[in-house]
Amino acid sequence: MMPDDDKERLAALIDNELDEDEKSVLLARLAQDEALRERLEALRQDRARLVASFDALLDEAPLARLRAAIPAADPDLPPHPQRASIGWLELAAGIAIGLLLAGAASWVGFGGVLGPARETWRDAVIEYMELYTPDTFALWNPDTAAQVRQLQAVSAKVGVDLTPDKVAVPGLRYRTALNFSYEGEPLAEIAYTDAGGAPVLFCVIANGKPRAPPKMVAREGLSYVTWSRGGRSYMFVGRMPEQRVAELALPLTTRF
Amino acid sequence: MNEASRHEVRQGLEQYLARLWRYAVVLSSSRDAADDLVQATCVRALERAHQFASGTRVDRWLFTILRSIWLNEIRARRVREAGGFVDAEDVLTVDGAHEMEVNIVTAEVLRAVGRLPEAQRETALLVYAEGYTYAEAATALGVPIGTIMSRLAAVRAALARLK
Repeated sequence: MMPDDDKERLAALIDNELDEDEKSVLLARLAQDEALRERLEALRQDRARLVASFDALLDEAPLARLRAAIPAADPDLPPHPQRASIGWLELAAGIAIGLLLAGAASWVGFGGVLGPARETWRDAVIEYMELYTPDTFALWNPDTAAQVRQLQAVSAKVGVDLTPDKVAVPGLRYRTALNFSYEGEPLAEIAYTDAGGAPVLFCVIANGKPRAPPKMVAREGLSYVTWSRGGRSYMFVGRMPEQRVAELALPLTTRF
Repeated sequence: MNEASRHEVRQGLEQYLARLWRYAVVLSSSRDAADDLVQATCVRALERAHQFASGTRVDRWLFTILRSIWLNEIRARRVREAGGFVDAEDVLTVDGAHEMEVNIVTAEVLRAVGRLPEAQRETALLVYAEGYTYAEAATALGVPIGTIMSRLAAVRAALARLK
């Protein structure tokens, strides 16, 4: 049975509420303690489910009726500034064109309220991503044999052949591969760090979505490329400029 | 009258309507009361737009108004009228008929949230869905940080029981 103070510390880690010293101690313990890591992931999944459920409520809001209840503007007020448009940058001819257009993409949604249809597994991944720091994976340095074992474990769940060579990304260091489940669908997360220690994720979910070409999305400081093929959807995400993410993702978008 | 503030408040109302409604329905456990609460919040926010400090977070300011109206007016009235509260378990649901992404897990989680006391529901919403830090939630709700943490622990325990 896990002591309550451990549970509270893990929850505080997920909620980004630990100070640096507490975080360092806990991360060091996590690196050594598989049971503690499993408990952390369970708490993260509970949290993600709760957030996704709260977000589902947003879609229930009777917006038309509520908008009608906003008192009319005073006639002496100048017109409202135009709200920024909300859009996704479609990479019509693949990532290369995306590089030329980098900087044009932006998603200025408000928690999904006004944005395009939510793709909630990606939101869940991004939710986790917000919690990662350069410390998160600092102590995870699997050798090649361990990488093979980790990747075999996630391959078996998502049904995609993942090997150290196939997931290798020049400029990034492999850190770990983890199995998740999003609303019953197997979700693999392969974590890397760049030279500065910044976490970068490559995610695969077996969700049966139809084939879709790579798209570049920039959102609140994160950039990601997303595509679907063979009944799997993929996402490659990092807290870095779009152009850098697009460059790093290129080998993966060609292999998967 | 500070016109910049009025613009920000009006824009904020339009942008954050769904989030205001979600907060209202989580607080009130009633979709009807939530509609009333959001409507009252819109009116009050525009009346008091001059008090909004331009450039600060309009969503948080609107939430404060909504919560104040809930505590001081609508909840108090509902208690006076002895209408009591319906079980939030039945209110925090989503209509899966037109929302294909909504599944059994979401419905189960929302039912579990609905069974929680109001204070725990509200704290979970603010911290997990609205991104308040523990300290911000403590300030907004007027309770110590320890109370926020114990409420969240209770929410986590309720979710863990779903497995």
